[in-house]
Amino acid sequence: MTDTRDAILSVQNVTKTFEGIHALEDVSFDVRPGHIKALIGPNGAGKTTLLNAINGIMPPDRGHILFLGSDVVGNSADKVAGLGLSRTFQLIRMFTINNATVLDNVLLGAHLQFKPTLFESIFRRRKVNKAEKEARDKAMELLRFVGLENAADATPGSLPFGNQRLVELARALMTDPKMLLLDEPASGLNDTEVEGFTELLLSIRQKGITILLVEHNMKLVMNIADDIVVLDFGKKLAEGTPQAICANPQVIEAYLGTTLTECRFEP
Amino acid sequence: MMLKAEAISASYGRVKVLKDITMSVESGEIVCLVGANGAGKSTLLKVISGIVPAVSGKFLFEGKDITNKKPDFIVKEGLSHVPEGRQIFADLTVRQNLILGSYVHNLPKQEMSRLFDSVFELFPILKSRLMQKAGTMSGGEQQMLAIGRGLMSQPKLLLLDEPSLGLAPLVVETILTVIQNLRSTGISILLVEQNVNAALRISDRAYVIETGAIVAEGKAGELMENDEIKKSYLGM
Repeated sequence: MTDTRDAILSVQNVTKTFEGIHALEDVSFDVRPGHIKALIGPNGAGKTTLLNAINGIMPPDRGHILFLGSDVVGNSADKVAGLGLSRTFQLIRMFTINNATVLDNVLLGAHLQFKPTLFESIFRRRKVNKAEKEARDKAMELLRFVGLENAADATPGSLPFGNQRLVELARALMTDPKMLLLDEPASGLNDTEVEGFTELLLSIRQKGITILLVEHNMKLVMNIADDIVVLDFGKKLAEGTPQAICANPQVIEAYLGTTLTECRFEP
Repeated sequence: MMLKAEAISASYGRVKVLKDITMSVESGEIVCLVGANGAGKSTLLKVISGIVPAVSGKFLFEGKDITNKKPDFIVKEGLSHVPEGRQIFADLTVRQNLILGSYVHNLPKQEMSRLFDSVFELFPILKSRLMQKAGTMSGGEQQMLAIGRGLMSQPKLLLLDEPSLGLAPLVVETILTVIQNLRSTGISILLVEQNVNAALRISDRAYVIETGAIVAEGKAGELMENDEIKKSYLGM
């Protein structure tokens, strides 16, 4: 294990039980700053439960989760987001009321930084207008970044599944996160679209944002993960580089199978 | 001929999403629809099964016109749709979900138990989960349930929308094997799948859809060798 002082996120002995069943059992691993770490494992292994524990949606029964050195267990999800830890969801969550557009959905990500008081909203219009304009400009820039500038005024529901995920990603980036938790962001993308998405994640890492990536698409994972942690039945099964994970017989048996072409690395 | 689509068009509001789609599925075939996100693949499946209306064109199912017929009528004719994202009833048990799949036929008890058995043969895990709430199962098990529910109406043609979505690599392999097994029991399959490599590997033929129109078609093996297809869909 790396020295936890070097880690941006340190998951320590996390345990979570649902009705007597161990969803997570004594799970520990670190994520180094600037890394892309992949979290893989069979359906039902506890990956989403772990993300929920990390970002405060559903705290663990036992264990510690250190983000930037301080324990975030017990913090609410918005508090954790405020600390710089943002996430996307496996099942896309878009706001559609009042005909909210794609741009509106991205703008929602700004609410953590931009909280005008009632006084300001009434008597400091110029200041508030300026802040609103800045937020819009930033949201548009992020939509450009994910390749959706032409969809700003569309309703999220009119976009294909894969593009809705990109809206979620832009919304998560709107919070200026230090770290992103991504829950199956590539599901529903074809192999060529996955290549574009790979580039996108690499440029996010380039910005200095650390990523914890839950994903079943091995083409994506094996291409970009600095290292991988594998969960199976709520326990850590393995941890290591993509090459090491691909060669691990237990991981092959529980998860990868033997037919994957993505696991053939250039020597 | 199992299914024939003749010049089908469909719209969402004023946006035309399918333009003059002509395609077919022969009896015993696995046919795959390939296309980018938003190309119209899922919409085509929805138009076939009567969920989204066709603006023009005609569907013939075993020679019979099923264009814009009600979804339950189409299911009863022998065409079953396993939707994207599985859409199982999370708060119902596995058993209840399966029963719902067969309701159009109103079958006697004995026939029902025979149907259950045939689904358990394909997906033994469902048998051990029969009284469990469907929503508490893993993604892979839910996909098996969704396919199982589709089979409970005894389809001749099964429409499968993204069956590998969100599934672990090993489970994807299982699902692909199941699809091939289904075909060998005589069920024809029309498949939409973003995992294009895998889909073409098990398909006989494929149609490539771009912005609502078919731009290429052919044997799956030949399409896999097509440079344009490789570049656009296979990531090579």
